[in-house]
Amino acid sequence: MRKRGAIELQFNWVFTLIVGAAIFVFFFGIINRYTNIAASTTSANIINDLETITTGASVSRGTVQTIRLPNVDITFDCADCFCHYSIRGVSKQFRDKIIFAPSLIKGRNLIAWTLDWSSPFRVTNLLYLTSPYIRYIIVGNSNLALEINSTLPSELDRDYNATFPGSSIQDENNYKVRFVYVDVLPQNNDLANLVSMKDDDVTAISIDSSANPPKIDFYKKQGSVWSSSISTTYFTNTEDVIAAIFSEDADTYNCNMQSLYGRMAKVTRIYINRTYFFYTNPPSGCASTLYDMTALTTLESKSLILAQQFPPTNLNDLRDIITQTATLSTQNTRTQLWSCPEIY
Amino acid sequence: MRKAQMEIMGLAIVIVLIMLGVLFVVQFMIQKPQKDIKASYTDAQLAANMLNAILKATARDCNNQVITTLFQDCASGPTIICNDGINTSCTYLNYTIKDLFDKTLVKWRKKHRFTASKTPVVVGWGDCSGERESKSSPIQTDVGTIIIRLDICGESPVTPSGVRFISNLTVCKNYEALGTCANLDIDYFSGYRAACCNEHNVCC
Amino acid sequence: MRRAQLKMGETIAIMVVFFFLVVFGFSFYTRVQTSSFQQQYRRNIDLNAIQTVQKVSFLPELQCSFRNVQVDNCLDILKVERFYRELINHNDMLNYYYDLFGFSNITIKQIYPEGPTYYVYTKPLENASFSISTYVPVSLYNATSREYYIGIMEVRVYAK
Repeated sequence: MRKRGAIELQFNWVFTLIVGAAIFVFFFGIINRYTNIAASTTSANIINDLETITTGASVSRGTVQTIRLPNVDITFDCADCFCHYSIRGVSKQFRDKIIFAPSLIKGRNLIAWTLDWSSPFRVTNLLYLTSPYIRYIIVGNSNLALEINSTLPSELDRDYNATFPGSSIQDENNYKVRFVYVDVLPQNNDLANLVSMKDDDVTAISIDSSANPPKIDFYKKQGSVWSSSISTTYFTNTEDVIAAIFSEDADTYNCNMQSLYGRMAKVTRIYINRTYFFYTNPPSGCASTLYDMTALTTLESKSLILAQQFPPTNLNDLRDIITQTATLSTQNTRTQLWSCPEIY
Repeated sequence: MRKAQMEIMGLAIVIVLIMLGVLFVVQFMIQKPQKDIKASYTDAQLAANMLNAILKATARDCNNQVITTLFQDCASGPTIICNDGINTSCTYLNYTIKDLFDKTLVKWRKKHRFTASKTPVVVGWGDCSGERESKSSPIQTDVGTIIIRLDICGESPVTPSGVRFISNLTVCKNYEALGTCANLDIDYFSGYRAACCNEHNVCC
Repeated sequence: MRRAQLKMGETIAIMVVFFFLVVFGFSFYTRVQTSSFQQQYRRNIDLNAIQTVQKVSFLPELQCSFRNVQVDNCLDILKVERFYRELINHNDMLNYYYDLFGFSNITIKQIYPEGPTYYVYTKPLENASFSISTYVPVSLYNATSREYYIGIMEVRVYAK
């Protein structure tokens, strides 16, 4: 009798344990699954909202916005010019937008800045995204350096140094640091107090505005020194320089510039058609020569080349863009002088 | 006794859980429906876009003047006579803007009120006593600054039975007091008199 | 032994009732989630419609500009006509702007003075389950006569 009771008691406990464990595993599995689904749903929602925010930001030219987001990491990537941003594995392509951003934006705040890009007519708005926890150090005393320093929004964590700062640059616990050397070459001394940071997180660009066409070199920290130039690219105006400042690397910059010139080709086509109308039907008092289309057609053909490859193999294509931009601007001014409908 | 107490405790916990579940359900059911996001955006833009478009337009039937110029003339004169030789800038503006709004805001069932201070130009449709999205534009004239204002009105207050009026009680009573109920359809919109009668039992 | 069997039976009965409650709760939750996802889907379509309206309103290919200064809420008639002509004559252009506008129809009806309807972009979705139309008053600029007209831009976005 005692034995039977003893067995019954033990069996009951074992049974309870097994059942309890089964219930626990069952619910743990459900919760785990639900957590993953919820995380993916949240990421997808944030991505969709970010898409709306970036669309709104990109149509509001000349604006700076600090956008509050949930505390998620947003990664940007342009491998093989397939540019997209991702949150926890959920990604979305840039598509029509031209976005210059570092590879990772951390924290709750996202700074979105828009500038319009013209050559000489407005083509589109460039969207610059960054984090207030990324540090930008501008070095140089040329006019371009001063212009960049005055243009960059105050929301950024930025320092300006007319001369090489050297060891005065302290590690302020930023997760990324970008040096911007304007018309000077990178100096290894500037890395004195940043040696402990990861190499990938400390980068530099060097701008040479006296070159023809003006160029930008990208550098990365290697221990306590700068690497040799990883990549060289080119720019035509201040907006391009700012794009390079915000871009993680030359690939991001070049891929977006390709998209930009692709866009330029489309806009130029419309202006060509419009100008042709005035060329063949000049308003009274306006000569058809005012609507000469040489500059426009050259801009279209060169921008189509740059849309395929940037930087181009033949730098004369870029030089032609710069030249014809100035020519078209002069042409447009002439139409105003004659009180005729403007080209743009 | 202890075992029975444990059993009762268990039952009580189950009941508490069920009550929490029911509370959760009720909360969902009485939750206010989210405001239509597209409607919020378009309503906010509509007043501004409409007013900007109107003020910039060229009045071909009125000496090719810009609408802004006609408002200036209306406030300080009017001296401009339109192409038909009959309408002044004020009358032209009144019927043109009414016609425009009939094709747009009235068609989209958007209650609105358009006024231009220091001028007799007033165009409206529906009751504007509720929420509204407004856009004002000042215009300099030689009689001072006039304010052109367009209000796109939201939903009118709801009656206890949940019906929204399209006519305003005060307006209906005023017209009845003056004996001009027949003008309600002309001054507001076709069907306004019938609305006064159906909704407020006035001007029947 | 019988008592143990009774006990086991009691435990199993409790578990059955418990799992029944869990299943009931779960199916209710699933239904609520489905409704929530449908609302979210609808909200995303609304956001998409708003984005399309914003993009077309600020497109340099259509917007009025004077000395490279863009005029808000104004579209150049010559640009609009030539833009649409490029879209219908060049498939690559249509594909390019599909990234901006998706499945939608964009038209502008000139209402003051009464005038034609201008087509901007046409790419409807076959077998769309519904569409959302947004109407935006715009200024239409005639560069030849330098006059402004009033138009209503209709942006109709399709969804499955």
